[in-house]
Amino acid sequence: MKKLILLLVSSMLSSCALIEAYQMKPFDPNEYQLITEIRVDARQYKTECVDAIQSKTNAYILMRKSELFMSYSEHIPYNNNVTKASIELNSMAKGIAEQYQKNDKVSPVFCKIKFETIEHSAETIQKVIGDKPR
Amino acid sequence: MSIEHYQQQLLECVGAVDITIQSVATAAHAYTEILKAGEISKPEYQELMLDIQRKANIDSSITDLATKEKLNVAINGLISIIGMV
Repeated sequence: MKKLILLLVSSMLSSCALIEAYQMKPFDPNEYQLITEIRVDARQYKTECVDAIQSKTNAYILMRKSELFMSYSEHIPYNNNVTKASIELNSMAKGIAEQYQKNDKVSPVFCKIKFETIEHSAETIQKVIGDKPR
Repeated sequence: MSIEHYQQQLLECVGAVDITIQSVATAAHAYTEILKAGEISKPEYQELMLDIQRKANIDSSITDLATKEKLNVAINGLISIIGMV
């Protein structure tokens, strides 16, 4: 019976996927908190896009927070997927901060779409981090 | 090639069965319309288009992780069953 189960599992999965899945780090409340903050901040910031000065500050705050999330996730072993996602999320946040750095007349429509995209992506990441084994 | 030509191609993708392709095409089409309406600048448009790719990369990493989480549960479940047999 034992041999049969082991044979079945090992034949179904590549050794790499098997090791990564088995070694997966359990739920990390700090990682979860960071991504939740990014999501909630982005949700709030998208409502403030008519105020360019406030939005510029918001963009910088979100960029720094996404950097923190990226750096936090980076050296957690067997956490490649979250690390990759955090790098992309940070690029998104950098993108809006850079627009405010280049030009003070950033369009409110652009600002709203950017924060909305960050909010949705943060939610996607949050769901999976929340599903990590306890 | 004109903007309209590429937009036509996007519209064909909006009807795709694959949800990822559909959402990418819908977003790209919407951003192009906003640019044409003059609501965003060209650099802003370029940035939004880059976000489409970034979002697709996030989705791909996260789907992979979700699969690994399921595997983790299955592997640990099997290990505990074997321990009991």
